[in-house]
Amino acid sequence: MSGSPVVVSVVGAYLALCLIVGIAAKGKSSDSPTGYVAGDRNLNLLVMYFITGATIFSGFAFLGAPGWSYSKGAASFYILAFGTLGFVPFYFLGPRAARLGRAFGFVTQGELVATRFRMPAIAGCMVFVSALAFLPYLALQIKGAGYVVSAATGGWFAPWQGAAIVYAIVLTYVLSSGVLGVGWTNTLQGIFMLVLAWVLGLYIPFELYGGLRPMFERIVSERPDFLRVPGLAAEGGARWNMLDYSSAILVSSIGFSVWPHLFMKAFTAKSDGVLRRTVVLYPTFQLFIVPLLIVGFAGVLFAAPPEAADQILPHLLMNIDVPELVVGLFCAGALAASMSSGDAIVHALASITVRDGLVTALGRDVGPRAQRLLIRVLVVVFMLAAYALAFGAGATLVDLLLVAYGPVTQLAPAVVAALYVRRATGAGVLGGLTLGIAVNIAFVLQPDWRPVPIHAGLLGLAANVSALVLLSALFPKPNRPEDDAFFRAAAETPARDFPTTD
Amino acid sequence: MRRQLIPHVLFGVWFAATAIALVGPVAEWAGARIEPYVLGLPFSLAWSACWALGMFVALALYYRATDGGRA
Repeated sequence: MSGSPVVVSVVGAYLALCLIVGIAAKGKSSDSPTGYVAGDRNLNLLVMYFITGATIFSGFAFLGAPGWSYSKGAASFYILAFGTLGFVPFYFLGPRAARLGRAFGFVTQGELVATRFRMPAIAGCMVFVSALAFLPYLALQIKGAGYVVSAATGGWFAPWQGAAIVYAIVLTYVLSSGVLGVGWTNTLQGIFMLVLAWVLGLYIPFELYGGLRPMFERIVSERPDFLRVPGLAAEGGARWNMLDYSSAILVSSIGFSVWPHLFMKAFTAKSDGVLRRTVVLYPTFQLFIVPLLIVGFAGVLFAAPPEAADQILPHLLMNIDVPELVVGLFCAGALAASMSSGDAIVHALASITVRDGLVTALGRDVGPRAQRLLIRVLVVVFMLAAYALAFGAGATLVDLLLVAYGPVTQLAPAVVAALYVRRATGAGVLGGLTLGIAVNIAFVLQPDWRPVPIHAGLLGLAANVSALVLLSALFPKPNRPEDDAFFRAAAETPARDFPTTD
Repeated sequence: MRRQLIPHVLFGVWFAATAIALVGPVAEWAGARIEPYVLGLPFSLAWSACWALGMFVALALYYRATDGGRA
């Protein structure tokens, strides 16, 4: 049934629509780097809701989440848990950062932290961390898109060819329209993902088992512990331990708000109110993980297993009797999930490499036009690098993501210290960041060295915060007028919800 | 306690409760239960989903009570 004209035309139509919407966003923002990177700080609630929701929920959610519930059972509930906790800090951090952005012209997280501590090296360090996390993350998105196109066309396109087509489209609208291309397509893609996840999550269990409860009852009778937290550590493996489950939730929650591509969206919102309402509404988006987990569970007792766990959703659709239109829409929805994260990531990585790396850390004097050009060149470079990684490395989607999350989490203390802690110093932040990343990477590579069996990112965080506090206390800095101006700008609350310009 | 502080304290308490509910021994206790089923979902899954929904309600109330963060 895959490769049918209906499926291929639905996917083709969806891709064409993305391209049109993405390119139509061109010319709606100014020609400045602020326009390309932050949409002139003028995005409304609708676009903000989808830009954050669809950015966060990537191909990982659409393919990885059912893959987890299918292969690891209750372990997958961790995805729901970290999403519930993780975005809440942004309710406070976001508007504070946005006010500073308007006052000082920041469009990235690194600029904010480096300016606060008057230490450009911090921005450089943050670029390094971002690249480390973003490249495998982007690779995941590209790989996911490749699977989908390959399945949709019944293997007519190999995954590497399918991924190339989809990401050529992403490249086109990111290059032409910057963050507005990302925002507008994410709105379209977000609606697609939400509707499809709910439809499939309710349809498949009814089709296969006659309902949700009958399905879960059968799973419980055949595999009694499968639906009990913390689930399995690996496919067909032993049970996960609760300490690991809990620390994975904590690391992912702490890292959530400070993912640079998400955090820098604080600089795109029209007002503080829009940012806060985005956070308020976010859990409604997050709940669409539930039907996706249900789909994975529907595959548990399915006779023929897929080649890899994260292909369970397409595998089910291809092997049960569903209308071809639904299959086509699903494929489009999965592509939407991959593209809506991939576009934001590549845009963010190129933007911060130029703004934080070149301009802030290395102190190069680059004009606005040259900045825009350079960002675009780097969009292409990073896309190609991630593409090579996607089809050169072997690990499954989610395992790669867990490794990538750790180092990003190390940015959290730096961001919080920059926004709230007057006594923190640049030396403390840089020392903490470096130590945290080193500890994190060491324990990821050598899990047996961990003193306690918890997530390496959490151990890194402990080292990070200790170093930050200790170094700041040992080498205090006198308060300067710049610090006062910084904190005044951060605290100032506009009387009304009006848009401001910089 | 000053009146303006009340929503902040309540929201803080709710956030802490959510964190406690989702990790560690409480999550293990609730997550070990399959029954009662809630809307066809086993209790362990419904538990996580309900806390996500609860966070939405809490954030919405907090937003209203603090006049969108200006109070």
